[in-house]
Amino acid sequence: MNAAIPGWWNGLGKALWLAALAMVAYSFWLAAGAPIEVQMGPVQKIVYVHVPSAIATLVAFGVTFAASIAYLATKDWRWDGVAASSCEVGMVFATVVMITGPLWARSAWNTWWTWEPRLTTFLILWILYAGYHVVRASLRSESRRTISSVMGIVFFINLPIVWKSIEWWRGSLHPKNVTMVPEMRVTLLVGMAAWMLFYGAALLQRMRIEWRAEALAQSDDGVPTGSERGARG
Amino acid sequence: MTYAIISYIVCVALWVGWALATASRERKLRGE
Repeated sequence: MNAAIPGWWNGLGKALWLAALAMVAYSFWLAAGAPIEVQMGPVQKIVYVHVPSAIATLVAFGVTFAASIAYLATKDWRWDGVAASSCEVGMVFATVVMITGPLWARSAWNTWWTWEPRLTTFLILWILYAGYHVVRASLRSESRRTISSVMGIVFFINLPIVWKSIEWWRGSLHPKNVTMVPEMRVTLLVGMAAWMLFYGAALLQRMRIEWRAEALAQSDDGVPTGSERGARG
Repeated sequence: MTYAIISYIVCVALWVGWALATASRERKLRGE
């Protein structure tokens, strides 16, 4: 299997970046002009970057889960590349959430951090996927892809727990339902669309490293790597 | 207002940092 980056990949990547950056800029512009929330004031605008980043985090780790299963089923290195790339992009989104969350909490709840269900489970999520990268980076053997895939599948267990934590445990400060005026809702929806596009563009960009690394590995060996041989059956 | 501005700046800074790091890794793999 050739590890060269396909031509269409570059074209799609550029198109996605253009669309994503334009949409993110538009969402920032909408956020700046969105109505000021009566109780919290301007600090409520954090929600337009915090919530879309949280959704993108869950999607990214969901893709890692699906790609990890696909790798174990096919042994095609490209699925492992997608899993690792999506996990890294998801980590950046998760870090945005972990920083913007306390900034929101300080204004809304008068504390930087509290051990309420959503915050606690999200912190566990962040630590688990940080561990994914630490373990993956420490392995150089052929088992690296397999071990990474197992982590990508096992760690996924925490995603529905994060999602349902505000229903399963009492004492959650995160609201179950939020009522917004139409301008605020549109701003939030545009933000979600923008950051999902951004996720797609970042995933394609990060995947280029996997292509390059595999091409290098193949040229160093002079033969396809072990996973390549596996993929060929 | 300050916290909102910090949030947006942090978000942009993290992604710019990631983009620069990713581009640097790719250049290294290309042997540049």
